[in-house]
Amino acid sequence: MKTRTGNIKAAEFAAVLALSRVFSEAALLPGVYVEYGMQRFTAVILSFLLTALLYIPLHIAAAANGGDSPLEAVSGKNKVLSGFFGAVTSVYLLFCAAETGLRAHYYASSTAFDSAPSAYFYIFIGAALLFAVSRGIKATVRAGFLASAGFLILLALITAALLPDIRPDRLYPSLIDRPDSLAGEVTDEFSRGSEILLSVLLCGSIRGKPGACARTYLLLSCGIIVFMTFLYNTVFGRLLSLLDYPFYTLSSVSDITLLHRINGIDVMVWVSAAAVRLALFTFAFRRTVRTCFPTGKAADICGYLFAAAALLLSELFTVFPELYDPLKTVCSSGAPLAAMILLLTAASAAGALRKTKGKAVRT
Amino acid sequence: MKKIIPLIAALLMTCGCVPHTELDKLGIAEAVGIDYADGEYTVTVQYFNTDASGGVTAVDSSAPNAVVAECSGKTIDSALEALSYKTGKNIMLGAVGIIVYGRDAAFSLRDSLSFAASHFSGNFRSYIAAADGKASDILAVKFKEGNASVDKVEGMLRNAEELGLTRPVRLYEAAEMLCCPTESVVLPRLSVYSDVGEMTEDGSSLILSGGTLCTDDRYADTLDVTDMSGLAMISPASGSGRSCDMSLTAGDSEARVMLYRIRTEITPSLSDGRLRLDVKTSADCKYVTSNIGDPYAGKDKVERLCEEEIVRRVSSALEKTLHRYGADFCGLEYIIRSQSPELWDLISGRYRETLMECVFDVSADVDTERFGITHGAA
Repeated sequence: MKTRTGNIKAAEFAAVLALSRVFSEAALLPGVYVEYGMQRFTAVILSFLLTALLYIPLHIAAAANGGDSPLEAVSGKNKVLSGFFGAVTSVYLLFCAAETGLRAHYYASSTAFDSAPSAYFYIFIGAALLFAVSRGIKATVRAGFLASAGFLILLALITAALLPDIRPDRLYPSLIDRPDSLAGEVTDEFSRGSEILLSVLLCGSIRGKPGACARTYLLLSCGIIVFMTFLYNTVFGRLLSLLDYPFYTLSSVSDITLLHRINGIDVMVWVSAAAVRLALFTFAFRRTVRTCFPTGKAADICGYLFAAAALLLSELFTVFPELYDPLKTVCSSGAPLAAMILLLTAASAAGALRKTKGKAVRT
Repeated sequence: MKKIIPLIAALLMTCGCVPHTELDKLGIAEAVGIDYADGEYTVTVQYFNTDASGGVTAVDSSAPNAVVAECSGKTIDSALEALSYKTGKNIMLGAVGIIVYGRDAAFSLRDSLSFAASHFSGNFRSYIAAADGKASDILAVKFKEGNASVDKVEGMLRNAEELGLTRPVRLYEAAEMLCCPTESVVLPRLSVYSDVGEMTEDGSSLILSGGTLCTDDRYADTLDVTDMSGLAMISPASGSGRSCDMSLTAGDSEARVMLYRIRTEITPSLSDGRLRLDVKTSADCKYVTSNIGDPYAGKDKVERLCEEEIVRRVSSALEKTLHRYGADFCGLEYIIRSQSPELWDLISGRYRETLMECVFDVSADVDTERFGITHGAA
């Protein structure tokens, strides 16, 4: 199997993807609640298993394709096919980026910055995004890695401060409490993990064997989310089902002698994570455009336009929730993400098939 | 990069062009009192008064740093809004140390705590207490040494917890207990009493007079200090467990002991179709003072007296809360569910009735470890 020679370490990139995934878990959308109960653990683990199951064929196909990006496999030969793959991927990436902006905006404006005007948020996140996209993926991943370290320190501080409040007797020996809602919880959880696409679309920048990054990302984010679920259940018990943003509440409840409440740091970590996530989607879009459409150097400008469109769309979703709600219903079913993974698998498989045929013709 | 740094520096200079709030326009609330009468809430707020900074103490009458203001409204939110207009300040709830509920407002606990829990500028770690009468009376007390009542109450609750007299409840804990099936919470109860000897400006002072049981969205009963002590013993403890100061008398012998590392284990089971709770409390004991000649020789007697006292206090607390009201005040539901899920499935449909009919067996085991400097004196 070919080893990639990009300039970003796979582990570093995986840590940034994990932060991005955990952001989706902490910055919940309005009206989404985390239910108290052991079923939450089951839902999280099953969703990651589902992601892994869908990823395995993609990994095999990508390996057969020589570890190249799936979009490279379909580009060039057939313009219609290439355009189709490019358009579908771009639309999905734009939705993910807009949703990231929406989540971060709601999180910041509903919690610590409840009275701050929206403009502050967009100025900050827009400036961070501009900076990230102009500096390139390596610098963004490096900054994201620092944000991941910041998150881990925050999590450690919260855990240490809440140790006296953790009540293990709030856990009970049952894995499925509400069989009717389990499937919905699993697919909703699965739909939040669009980062798996980033590990494939941006694979050209990653050093190491294909799959190493995705594997580390899946294990890391699953571990962190299971641990967060443990904290939610053991600290809040039944109150969890009423909290809009349980992670923010954890940081508000933790009383650290030196820093007192650390909810301000919490919000800064998630806004930074949102900026990194948005930047990663922008890079993925830029790569898609460059690969699937004959844009040349205009791809860079397309990247900036994508970032601006994502922020504009997230503001539109905020102002007109009726626009967003149907999209949310479709996306939380997990079908679009599953379709995207299958589409990329098909692209990789097609590339692999062509390479095999090419070899056969040469021999 | 060289182009971006001046741009960021220039952006920093634009911070004066955006709306902002001066510190003296904020009413930084330290304590909130909630009363209810004639279909209206009265919210009393004790807040930090930035306009009069320079007072020698917090309640210096020449320049008080802590002032009290109150306003009424149909909801707590509207009362707070009216208070903002009245004081000319934005009331900020992030630093609230204590929320006191008047006796008549206890019914609104669930709604108002939900309000506080969903109000992200609030403080999830605020203490929650109940007043014997009106909450505004509790916040109005000013101590001559310059303490606002909020400082006094917070200190009182912390001391009472160390002495095992009560179990302070924080906002998120109270909100959590009210989410449980019986919607029950026991709050420390504060009373105002008159005492000329007290160092307060008007001769009134505060006392922790026991607890208030709120269940099923209503004020249910008062608990005395003994009940509260028993309740504290069986409530979940953090770290090395709870402690309790206990005075014992047997004939001419008197001893004051400190129980520490108090641990309670509750084992639920089904007995003759009724829920049975085996409550086992263990504690270590040390002498504080005693007139027993040789404390080491009297060790067994003191331990037995401690055990009897623990059983009495815990039984009394369980009797009043479980048997009388079917109120799960310490998360028994979690214990039953984690230890015996089948039992929980069986009783969850009629949980309150099950608790009212339950039988409990309380036992205690005290072990004296330290005798202080009295050992060997005789």
